[in-house]
Amino acid sequence: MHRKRTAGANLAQVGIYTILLISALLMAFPFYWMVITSIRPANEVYTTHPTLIPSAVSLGMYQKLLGDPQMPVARFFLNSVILSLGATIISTITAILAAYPLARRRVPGGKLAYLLIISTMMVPGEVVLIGMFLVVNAFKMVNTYQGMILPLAVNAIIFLVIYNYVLQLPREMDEAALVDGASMWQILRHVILPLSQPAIYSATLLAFLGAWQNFTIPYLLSQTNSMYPLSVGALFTESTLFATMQETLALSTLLTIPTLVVFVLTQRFVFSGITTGAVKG
Amino acid sequence: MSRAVPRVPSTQPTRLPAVRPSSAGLKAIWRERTSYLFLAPILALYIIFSIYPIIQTFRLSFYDSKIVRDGPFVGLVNYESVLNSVGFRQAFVNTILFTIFSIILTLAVSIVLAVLVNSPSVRFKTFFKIIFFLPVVTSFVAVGYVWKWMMNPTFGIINTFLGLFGAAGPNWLSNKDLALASLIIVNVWKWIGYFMVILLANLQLISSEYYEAAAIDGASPLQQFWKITLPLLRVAIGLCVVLGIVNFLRNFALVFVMTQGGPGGRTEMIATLVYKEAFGTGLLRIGFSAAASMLLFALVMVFTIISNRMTTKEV
Repeated sequence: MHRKRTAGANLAQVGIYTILLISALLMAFPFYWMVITSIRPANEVYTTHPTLIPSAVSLGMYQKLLGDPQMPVARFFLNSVILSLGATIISTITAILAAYPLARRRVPGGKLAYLLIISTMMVPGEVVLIGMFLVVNAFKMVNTYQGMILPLAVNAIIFLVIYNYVLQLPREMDEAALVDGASMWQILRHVILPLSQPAIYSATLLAFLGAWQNFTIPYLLSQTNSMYPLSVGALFTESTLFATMQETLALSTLLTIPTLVVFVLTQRFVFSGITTGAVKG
Repeated sequence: MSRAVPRVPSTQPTRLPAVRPSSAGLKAIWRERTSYLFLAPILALYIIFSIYPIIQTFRLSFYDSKIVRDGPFVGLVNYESVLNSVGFRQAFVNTILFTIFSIILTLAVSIVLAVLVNSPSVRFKTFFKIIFFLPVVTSFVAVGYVWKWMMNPTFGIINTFLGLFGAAGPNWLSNKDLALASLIIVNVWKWIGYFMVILLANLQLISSEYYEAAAIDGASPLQQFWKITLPLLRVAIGLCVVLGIVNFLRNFALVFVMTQGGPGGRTEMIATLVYKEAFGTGLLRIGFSAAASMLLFALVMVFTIISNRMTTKEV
């Protein structure tokens, strides 16, 4: 689109960029402040006149945290990794398996199965705290990895991302394969899986980002600090061990970096996942 | 720009015919036995860890139960005591206020930002998208702590900044009249990027011909926004509202990290009240909490249905 540049248009453009840059600054500043607070000298933290740029940088707080037996930070981190990877693998695989028949075949009762999966979006963990605890307790899985991974793997958005994608793939290839006598397993492996790779990337990323961020389920279902993921561990150290704000923000930084890095490296797939899957509320 | 093509939100028709209970139907079921095998894992997972817990919660809301053993059936007594409880009423009002104001503010800001990022003259669109999206991929725990620190009345950067202009900053989180608003600000900050990405994807689908025609007719940019952009974004806005309802009504982590429901219950939410009554105080008021949970569930359902009606209705 070509436009004649006028003084008014230039002014408008300056205005637009000004608003966008100020907004971007407001969005990014808390991240800067979190990291900076965790690595500056302690006497520059608890001051009524904090400086924007620290006089010195030290990773001492992180060393201290990693060496503190009361706060097994390395263990918290490992637990976060185990929980989110476990939930990511289970939710993505179950979603692929279900998306294929529901999007491609005439399954009696398929509509019901679809509605059942989608309806779980209306019952997030926070709404069923008590029922969730009782169910996990009945399986004797409270304070275990599997007891947290399985509830964390319930994420209908992951299913929707893959389902919506498979639905719009051209049907010629798997129909041809069907005529050639291929089994559903073969079609899934050799046709659907390769063709839906972009959606599977998106779904995997959204599953990971969602599971890593989830607080409620591990908060409800983990009971000892050897099982806490970072999010619960940070709350535990702050509220029970009265950690300083600098320690808490160092933990928050550790909690933030993995998802931020994953997102920035893969933003294209995250955004396409959001706009294909998350769109159906 | 990213190469991935964003798609419009659409209602996907499920391509399934009605099943007749006949031998043909049974044959179809037998033919699809592998399909059922494929469906079994997700259905088992979702039924056990989402559907069954809500049924259990519903059942328990009629019993005076402790966590391990079932108590006697008490009918609607739990609901009565929930509705008569001052704590619940306060949490109910807080939850509604938190949700409504979060939705309105997040939408307002994200629409403006989406329109600005979408304007043809703006470059680095992906850069802005990424920056605005950073809070979305950040844990509420980290978000809560850094804002709690920035809002600290003595050491917080926000009040230091206000001090530069001679303004005495308020006590963001312990002032009774301000604490809920402070939480709303943080929640809005966290969600702007999510709404913006959805709105932007839909804006990019609006043909520029509309705007060119409107410009020829002499419509100002503001008129174009009200007459073209907003109406064409209706479905996307409806979607954001539903996302907001489902996600804001269940607000939990932010409260636990930033205020624990205080000061004086001014930031207590239904979900945090349920947790405290059931697990937090040692009183194990399971029946009471289950009834409160069901009311929260009803709230999610009712709000979602209303907003669906409002946004899908033809204007």
